[in-house]
Amino acid sequence: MVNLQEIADNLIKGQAKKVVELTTNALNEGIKPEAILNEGLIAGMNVVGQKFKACEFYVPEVLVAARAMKGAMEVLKPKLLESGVQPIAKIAIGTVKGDLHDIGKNLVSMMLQGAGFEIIDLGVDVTPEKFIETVKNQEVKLVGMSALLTTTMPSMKSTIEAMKEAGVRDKVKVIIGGAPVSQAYADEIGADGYSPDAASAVEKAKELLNIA
Amino acid sequence: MNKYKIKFQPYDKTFEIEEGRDILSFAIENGINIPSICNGEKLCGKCIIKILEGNVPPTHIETKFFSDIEIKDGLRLACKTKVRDNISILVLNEEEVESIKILTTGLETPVTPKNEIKKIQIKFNKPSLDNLKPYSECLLQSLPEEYNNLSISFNLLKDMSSILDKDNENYFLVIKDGEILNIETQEQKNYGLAFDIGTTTIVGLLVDLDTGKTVKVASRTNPQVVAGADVITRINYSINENDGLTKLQKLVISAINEIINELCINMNYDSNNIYSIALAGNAVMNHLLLGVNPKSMAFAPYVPVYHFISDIKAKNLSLNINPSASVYILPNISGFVGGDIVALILAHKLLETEKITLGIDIGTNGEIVVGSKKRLLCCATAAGPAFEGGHITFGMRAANGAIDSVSIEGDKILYHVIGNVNPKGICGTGLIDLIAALLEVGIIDETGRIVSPDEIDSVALPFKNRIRENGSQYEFVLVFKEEIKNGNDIVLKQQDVRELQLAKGAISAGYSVLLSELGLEEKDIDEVLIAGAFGSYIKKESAMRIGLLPKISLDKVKSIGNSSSIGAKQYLVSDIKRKESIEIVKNTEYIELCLRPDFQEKFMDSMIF
Repeated sequence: MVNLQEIADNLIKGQAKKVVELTTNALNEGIKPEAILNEGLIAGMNVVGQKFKACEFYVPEVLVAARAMKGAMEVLKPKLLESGVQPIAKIAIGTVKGDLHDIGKNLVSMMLQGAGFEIIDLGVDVTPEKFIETVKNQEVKLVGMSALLTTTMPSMKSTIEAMKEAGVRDKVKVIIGGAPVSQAYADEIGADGYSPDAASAVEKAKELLNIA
Repeated sequence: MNKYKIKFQPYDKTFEIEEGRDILSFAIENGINIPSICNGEKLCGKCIIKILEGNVPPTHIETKFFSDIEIKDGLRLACKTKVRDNISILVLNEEEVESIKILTTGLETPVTPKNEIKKIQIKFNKPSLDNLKPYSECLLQSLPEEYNNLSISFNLLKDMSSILDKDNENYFLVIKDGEILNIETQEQKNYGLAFDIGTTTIVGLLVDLDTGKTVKVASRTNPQVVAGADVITRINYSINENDGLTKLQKLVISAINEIINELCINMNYDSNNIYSIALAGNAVMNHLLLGVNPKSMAFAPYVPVYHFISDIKAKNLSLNINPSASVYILPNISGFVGGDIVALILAHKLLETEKITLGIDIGTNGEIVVGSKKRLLCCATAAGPAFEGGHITFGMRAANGAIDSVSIEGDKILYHVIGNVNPKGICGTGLIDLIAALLEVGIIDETGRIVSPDEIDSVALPFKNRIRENGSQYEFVLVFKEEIKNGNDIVLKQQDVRELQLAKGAISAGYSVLLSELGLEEKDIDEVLIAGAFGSYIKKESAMRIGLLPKISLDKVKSIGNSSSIGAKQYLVSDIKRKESIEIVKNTEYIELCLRPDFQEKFMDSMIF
């Protein structure tokens, strides 16, 4: 019998092969996909997030853990769909117009995925129109925007304004992040939240969407 | 109005000063000499003073200009400091202000100078009642036959009659590209100027155009630093401030002119006799110098406005040399790989050799070039300010009081302090040494974690007492305050190691991507050239230990110093080198790392030690 804690432990260590193997075994043994997800993968990523916040883990460790999670999800996802399990919410995320830097955004995206969200990654240099279109056509609950340069930061403001104009601003919560961004800037441009790092982004997203 | 007491040290002079008055103008009025270049325009950053007593909160500009430690240490700018307390200040002498290490020279490589200025001696017959021709006619008539198609520059025309009215018959005409630029009453040496326009520092070389040798060197801090330390904040300033672009252009030109004056005064040379100047700088620096809007480089796709720009004359930029002098700007390859890298490729002939060369300029923006004459690639990577001491708890620039090297020998930890004073912080080279040493004894593990005292091996035992708990993490005490006369503990915190991992990961991932694009590995590199001040003072072993440099044999790694100024000099003295630079721009492929899916992967791998 696969111990779900063992999946979590291997995920924390970033042992991708082992995590995929254990996930497959667990499914074969008839353990509920939902349980594997929550008690194995998400539980493991939670620990990774905590260690990251405490500076005990750094970006590389988070990424290897996320890579292991991704591998396991490929096996698990069809089963989750079969059994009708829904992701907790859909989030659209992207680096704003004028900016091509995406390492921070990718990290946030992986942490959110690790917490059970479904992510629509819009990539880099994302125009306000693209954000709006995604909010309109997909059932997105939260929009995440990232910028690395002080010069491209204002694209966050113009995206929020464009969302207002298009009448979709109230449909979603908006969260922003990136090296030059601050809580003060989030307040100034009317974003709902700001996160200084990838681990806090998960907490912030849950707080904004009232998810326990 | 309230009055306060102000005491100036080391002069031991006390005055009464009105509330809110700035210290610089007050000092000048009272005969106290505080060095300042911009006369209190709050631009030059030279009027550094130290607050010894009294409360003086730093201004916004000062917090940008100084590091946190320097602020804590009481350093302020006299022009910014308004008196609102009884205070005592120390006026720093120029040597102390200039103690910040500036690298002015670089490794010279052979170049054949070809002087394009011709000077010919003439006998001049003044206009007279027997010769009722204008000066210009008389001058052209005095020329030997082979020079019958020359024109006279407009600038010379303005002053020509007074020069030629001297009681002198013999003159030297200065000719370039079919134009008479100047008339010298005595033949002067042929000097030109080569500049490295760095984001932080500007270096100028007075160059003998006949021999290609440097005659004299001078440098200044780039006064644009008041508008921000890195190129992106400078661009932001040019966008957001009124006349921001013009202000930044004026600042850099004023610093260049000061350097020109210093060089010429030292050599007793009239700067009006200088007919050519070459300048190398990154793309943002050369755009700002020319007053070209740099905005496009701060937004994707981050392209510059031009590769090449020619036909600029000194008068277009208000440079204090002959107004008709040619201004040569080293071309840009891309928005973040500019003239300074072209200078490196030019001076070290990377496009002429079979050898696989890796050239790196380590700075806030790391610029990297890899390859050989077969194929040469370049990229730029955002390393952040860690190597300059930025974002590091006890980080500081390489100035007096900075620990610039560290080593562990047996049971002792040894360090060197710049200026042989009490240590105040640690600069980039010291940080790399320290982390390399701690990796070696296992106090930092390969993931970058500072381990707990219970996890260490016997080699690290002598330093067990230096590993201190801080929340859920550990930190390493490099200097206990009890070990020095006065001052504070100097500590390496966990997040400092993380900052360094980001910086070195960015550089190493940059060259890894270029190598894999070429189908090569680290071991295939024949030579590593490290440019810039940081590269010159860095300990190669430590840089390799932390993974900033590829792990190859030490003798393949060479510090080339300020290659930007050397390249600019070659561009100045040789038209062949100028033509070569066209080839360099054409044949060096720029790789945008943001568009490389393998960059992120390599960045992650490169962060590990």
